[in-house]
Amino acid sequence: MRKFRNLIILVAFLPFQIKAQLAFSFSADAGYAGSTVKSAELPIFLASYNGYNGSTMSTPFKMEQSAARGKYVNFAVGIGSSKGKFFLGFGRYLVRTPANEAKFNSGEARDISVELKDASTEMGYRFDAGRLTGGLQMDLILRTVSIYSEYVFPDGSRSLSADHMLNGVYTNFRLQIGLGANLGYKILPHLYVIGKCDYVFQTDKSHPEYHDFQDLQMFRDVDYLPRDMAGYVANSWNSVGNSISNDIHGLRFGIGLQFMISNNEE
Amino acid sequence: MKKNIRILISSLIIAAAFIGCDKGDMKIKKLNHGNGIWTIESVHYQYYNLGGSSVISDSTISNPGELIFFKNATLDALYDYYLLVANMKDINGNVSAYRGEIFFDNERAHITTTVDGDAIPYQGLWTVEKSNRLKQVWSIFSVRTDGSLYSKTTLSLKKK
Repeated sequence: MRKFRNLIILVAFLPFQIKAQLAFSFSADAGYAGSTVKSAELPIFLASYNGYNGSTMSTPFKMEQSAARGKYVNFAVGIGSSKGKFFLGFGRYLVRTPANEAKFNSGEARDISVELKDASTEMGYRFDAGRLTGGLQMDLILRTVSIYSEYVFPDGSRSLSADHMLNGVYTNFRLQIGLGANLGYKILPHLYVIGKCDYVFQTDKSHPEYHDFQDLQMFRDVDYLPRDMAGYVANSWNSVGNSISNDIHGLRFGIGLQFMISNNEE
Repeated sequence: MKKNIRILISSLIIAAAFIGCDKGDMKIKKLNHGNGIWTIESVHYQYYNLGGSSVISDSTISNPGELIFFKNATLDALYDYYLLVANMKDINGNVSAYRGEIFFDNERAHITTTVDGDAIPYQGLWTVEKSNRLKQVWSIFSVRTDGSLYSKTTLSLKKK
C-alpha cells in the first residue's frame, strides 16, 4: 500500500520533473519555395507531341521542365534538451513551373506547366547551438501534381476549354518520401532565417498504371495525356497503355523566416 | 511572454494567409459564399479574321441578368456539380429563370443543364481568366475547322 501511494505521488509530480529536464519548442515558418521537376514520363508526351506536330512548329517543347517556384508554410513542435530536439511538423508547399511553350508557325502555341501541391509531414532531429540551428529530417508527403495544358491564341488569349484536344488540367496524387536537412540562423529573439532542402523520392514504381494523370472534369471524354500522339489522334478513346503516369520527383527547397519559442531559450 | 504571444499570433496570421492563397482549396466556395448572387456585368463577343490573328468585330451586352450559385450539389454531386440559376432579363426588363448546374475548379467553369432542367444560357466549358471573391472573368472560344480562332466570348461577373 505504501509503495502504491509513493507511485501515485511520483506520477502526480511527473510533469514538474519533466519540465525540469526536458525542453519544448514550437515553431512556425513560411517563405519562398522551389522544386526541380524530374520525370521520365512527361518527356515521352512532349517528345511525341513534338514529333507529331513537327513540320507545323516553329519552336518545339523543351524536354526538361524549369524548376517550380512558389511558397511554403510549416509548423512544428519539438521536444528534447537545450542542445537539441526531436521535432514533428506539418507543412504545405505550393509551387508551379513557368510555362514550357511549343509555338506553331500560325502564331498559336501550347503551354505546359506543372504544379506541385504538397501536404508534408516532417520529422527529425534539430541541434541548437547558440544562434545556429541545424537538423536532419524525413518527410512523408502527399503530393498532388497537376499538369496544365493550355492553348494560346495569337492574340494571347489562353484556353483550358474544349476548343482544342489536350486542353485541360491533368492531375494525380501519390504518397512520397523525402530526406533532407535544415539550417537556421537567429537574427532576433525568437526569429530565425531558415533554409531547408530535401530530396523527394518517387515511390511505388512497380505500378505506374495506378498513377495515370487524368483530367477530373466530368465532361472531358478523353481525359489523359498520351505517350503516343499519333495513336491518340487515331483512337483517343483507347487510353490503355497510352497514358503517361505521375513519376515526378526531385529536389525541394525552401527559404523563409521562422518564429520559434522554447522553454529553454536564453 | 505577452510579446511572445503577440509575435506568435502574427506568425499564425501570416501562415494562414499563405495557406489561404492556395487556389485549389477554394473552388466552388468562392462562388457560393454569402448569398451566392453574382451580377453579369457584361458579355463581350469578339469575332476574328481568317487565321484568328485579329478582331474584326465585337460587341458588348451590359447587365443581361444575374447568376445564383447554390451550396446544394446536383445529381452529379460525385463530380462536384452544384446548382446554378440564371435570372435573365429580356428587352422589357422581365426576368426569366433557368436552372442548370456548374463545376468550378478555379481554372475552369463548366455550365450545363441538369437532367430535368432548362436550357440554361452560357452552357459550355469556360476558362477562368480572373478569379477572386468579388470578381470573376471567364472566357470561351470557338475555332474554325483548321483550328484557328473564330470567336471569343468573355463573361464578367461581379459579386452582389
